Amino acid sequence: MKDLWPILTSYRSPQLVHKMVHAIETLVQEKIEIMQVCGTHTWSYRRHGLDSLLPSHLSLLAGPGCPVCVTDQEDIDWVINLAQERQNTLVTFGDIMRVPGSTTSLAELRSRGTDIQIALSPLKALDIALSQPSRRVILVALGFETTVPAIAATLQSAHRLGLGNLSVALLLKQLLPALRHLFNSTRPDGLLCPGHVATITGKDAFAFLPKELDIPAAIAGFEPVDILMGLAELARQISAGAPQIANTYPRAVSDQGNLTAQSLVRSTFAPAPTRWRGLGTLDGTGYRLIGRWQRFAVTAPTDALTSLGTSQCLCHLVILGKAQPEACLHFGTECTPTRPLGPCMVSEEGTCAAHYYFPLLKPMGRTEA
Amino acid sequence: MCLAVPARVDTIKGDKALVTAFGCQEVVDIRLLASIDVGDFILIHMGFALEKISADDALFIIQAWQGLMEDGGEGQ
Repeated sequence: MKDLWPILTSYRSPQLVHKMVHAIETLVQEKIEIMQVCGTHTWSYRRHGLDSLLPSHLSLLAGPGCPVCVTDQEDIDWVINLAQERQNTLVTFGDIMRVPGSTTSLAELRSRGTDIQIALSPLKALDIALSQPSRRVILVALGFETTVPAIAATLQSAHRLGLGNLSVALLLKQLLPALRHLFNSTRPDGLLCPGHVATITGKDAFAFLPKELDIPAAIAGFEPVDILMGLAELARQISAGAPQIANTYPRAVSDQGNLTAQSLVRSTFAPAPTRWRGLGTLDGTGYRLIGRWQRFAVTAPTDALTSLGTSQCLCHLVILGKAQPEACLHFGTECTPTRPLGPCMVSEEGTCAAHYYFPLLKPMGRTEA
Repeated sequence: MCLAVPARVDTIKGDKALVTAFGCQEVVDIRLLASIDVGDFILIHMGFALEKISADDALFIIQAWQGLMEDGGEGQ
């Protein structure tokens, strides 16, 4: 069996990166806009300075790829309200802690003694529920297709353990059907598809992009060379005028995806409408628990208004690729990672935070000689 | 939140595997994988193994691109 580690090192080769950037420059003769819908892609290409290397006529737009950022303000407030109910222990992933609610944040509540536990895995909620049987433990389930199987498996374990004090606040979202809605109003020249969503769904689940929407698509991994492979493939498709779904991340993505995980998800959840920041309520882009799993559900109120953003924050436009973070008057001044006005500046996958931590080394693209 | 990291499987016991990622050992849940063996490389996400990683595929595609770039990089 081959050792993976030395192979992965070559995916950060500066020599290969520069050759691939040159190849992309050769392929891209006209202005093109490539959207990506994965916060990890955003952070990777900013961290590695890729968008400083790429030609100026290739624009990278960050779409709704950060689960925390696309969570509607009403749902943030709902979770904050749940935390404030005295009998509840809230278990949540760290990203959402500092997202400002209408009156406070989970981080502020925790600093004042509210029982909020940060978890790296949803399985931690099981340990907490077992060790504190008198508490109502609520797991905040947040994420895209990548995370949904982990939530389903956690509920499976909760059922086996006979836990009666564990519930789940469902904020899970389906990115793929949301893309259909998004591309009704926005039409990039190509889409860099999220590698770890595709690990679960498989390459074939993205085939509707070229087949039905005529959008070139490439599934990409997260090392610098991975991302450039995806961009080069998109540039090739755009240049040839032949949209396809390409898989440039075959070490982790198969045509059909993880069938075991898909089966578990289907037996636990059914599609449901859900609210998205900036997009409103979209049919079939959320999840609801079915069958015996329904007893775990804490469902968000459905009568709340969906917030389309406030005048203070452009996050609702940034997550749709309609504004760059630097276009916001508050970027880097009133809004910073330590004092964020919106979720895009909070999350480890937020576009504003990525732009704040990793500013362009020089104006987008190379300076022509 | 879709971040996943590669790891090597060291031991397996029931639904759990001890894995090494970036020099650190961690116990992960392997229920989402239909099959897994000691020595396999896997992707870990939120305490779960999401998928096996194919070192052969990783090597094949990087070598293909290296070869392509050495040939001029325009014949894709």
